[in-house]
Amino acid sequence: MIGAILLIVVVVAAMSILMVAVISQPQPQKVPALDAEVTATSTALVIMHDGGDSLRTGDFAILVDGVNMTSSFTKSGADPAIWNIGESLTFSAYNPLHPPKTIQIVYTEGGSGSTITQLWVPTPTPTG
Amino acid sequence: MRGGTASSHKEGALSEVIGFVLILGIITAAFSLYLVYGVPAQGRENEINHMNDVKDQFVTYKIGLDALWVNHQTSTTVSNSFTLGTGGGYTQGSNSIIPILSPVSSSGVIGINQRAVENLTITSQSLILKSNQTPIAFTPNNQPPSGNPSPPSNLTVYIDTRSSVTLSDLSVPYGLDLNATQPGGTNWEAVINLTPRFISYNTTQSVNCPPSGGACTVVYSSGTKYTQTDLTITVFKGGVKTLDGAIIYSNVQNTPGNYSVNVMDDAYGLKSTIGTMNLTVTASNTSSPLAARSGGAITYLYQNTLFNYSPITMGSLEYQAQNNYWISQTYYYQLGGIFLYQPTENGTVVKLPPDISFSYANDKKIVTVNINALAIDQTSTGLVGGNSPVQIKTTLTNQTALPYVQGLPANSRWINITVTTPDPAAQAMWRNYFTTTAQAAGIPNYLSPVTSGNDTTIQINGYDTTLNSYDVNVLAQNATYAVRVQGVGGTVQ
Repeated sequence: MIGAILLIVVVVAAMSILMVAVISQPQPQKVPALDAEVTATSTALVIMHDGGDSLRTGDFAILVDGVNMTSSFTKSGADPAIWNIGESLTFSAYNPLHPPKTIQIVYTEGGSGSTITQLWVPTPTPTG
Repeated sequence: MRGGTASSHKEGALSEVIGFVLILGIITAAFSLYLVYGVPAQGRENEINHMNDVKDQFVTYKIGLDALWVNHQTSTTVSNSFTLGTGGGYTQGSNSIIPILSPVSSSGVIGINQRAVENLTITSQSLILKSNQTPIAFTPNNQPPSGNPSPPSNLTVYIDTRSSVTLSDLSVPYGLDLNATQPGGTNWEAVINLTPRFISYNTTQSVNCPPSGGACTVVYSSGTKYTQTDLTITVFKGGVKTLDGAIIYSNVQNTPGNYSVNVMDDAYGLKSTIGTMNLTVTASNTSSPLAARSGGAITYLYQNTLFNYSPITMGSLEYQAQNNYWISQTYYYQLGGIFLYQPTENGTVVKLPPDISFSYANDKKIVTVNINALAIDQTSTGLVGGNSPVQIKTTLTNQTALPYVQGLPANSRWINITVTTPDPAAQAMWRNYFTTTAQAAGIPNYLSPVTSGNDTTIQINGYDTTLNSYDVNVLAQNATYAVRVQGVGGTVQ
């Protein structure tokens, strides 16, 4: 009798610990999957949403050479709250004489940041 | 005691049942957690990976088709496979005993020419090749028509010496004077002459020696002697002599006696000068008209034309995903490009650019427009759905260059490129593509792409805003593919 109760207690306790361990884990986080491409000319630097998940403004950060410059990007498109396919972000602080080397788009929703994509900035192309 | 023993046995069974039920509950909870969080995450991951595979398959498809037209492999077929869904249609079947443990496979549809009719239209003011063009003949007494609208491809003068009775007749100078006035251009003149060559000589006529001695005096008589006749050209550009008596043919004879001179030969430096002109031809030195006959021909193999190429129906090869856990994307191949459409946002982007490109040579002020209208034959149709692989067979059926004149610095004054599509997302994509491509090339004086009705048009005017100069060089061709689709176990459509 006592042995049975003890066995149940041990099993329940073990399972409880296991469940707590599982449940206490953060829920699987859906990191947005998207393609983006950066175009640098002698006048502008533009990041184009090239397909995949849309990003809600505030849910991501843009690091230019490791520095958060999200506020320096201006979005095209009808809805300023969502960055959709085909829409672009223009970097207002762009200096073509000193173009950045890398741009990282980091998903910040859900606590820890996850890098969605890292873009190497091409050499600016001349325009008329 | 018996009663106590029975009660004890009942309680012991109860605790084991409770324990077992608890374990079952825990297992069920674990399953539930996996189903709620694990399966969708795994399905999403599978579908994202599958869409990346589809993208790669379209890129491979595009490269294969490009290889056909670049190498002019007409009637050659290439095969490509596309996977319509995750798991290739096998995951669901093998796990059907416990279907809830694995994500549901996605599926898709691949279709040939299933989009609405979409056309490419090219309109330009250009020098266009003409077929079956009869040369315009002229003689000194039969002038060429004046005010011809465009520069000729060939301006040939014939000097015929066969009527010379004797070779000595060729000692009489004879020629043609081509005098061209060009509104808005440089006037020019070319004089083509039969030029006799003479040598001068002195012969001793007498020697007078004084009888008383001393130096003798030699009396000479001078003369000239005909040696040969050369056919020569003298060129004036804007009144300035730029070529003086250059020999075209040396020592012409009356046999065979038919000499032709193309005034637009590079050697005479007139080719780039000759444009729209009024040409006057006069015979020079007609003192001996029997000595030689002359004539000529202006050949207009091309002319300045408002060129409207028949709209090219672009066609498409399209894959529509039907995803369960991620965005249902649509990829399609059209006009040599790969495009991605996302119906949830109603947006389309260019994944690989279509074969319409621009470039600008700032030193020459020439815009080059390169158009490879790679269309899918409208007689090709097919639609296969499911989640298994399908095979696409594509054959290059024909390849035709559009009749723009090549070999000149530029052949057009302006060009309009219009894409007609009823799809608003595609219209926006084409506007964006034309704009970014023109900006990246740095071409001057283009009108920003606009959409009117279903037509999205970019007009490229070139460097000269007056549209009078040929400063846009168009290189264009049209290739057509026949496409067939075959599902696994299916039939060729």
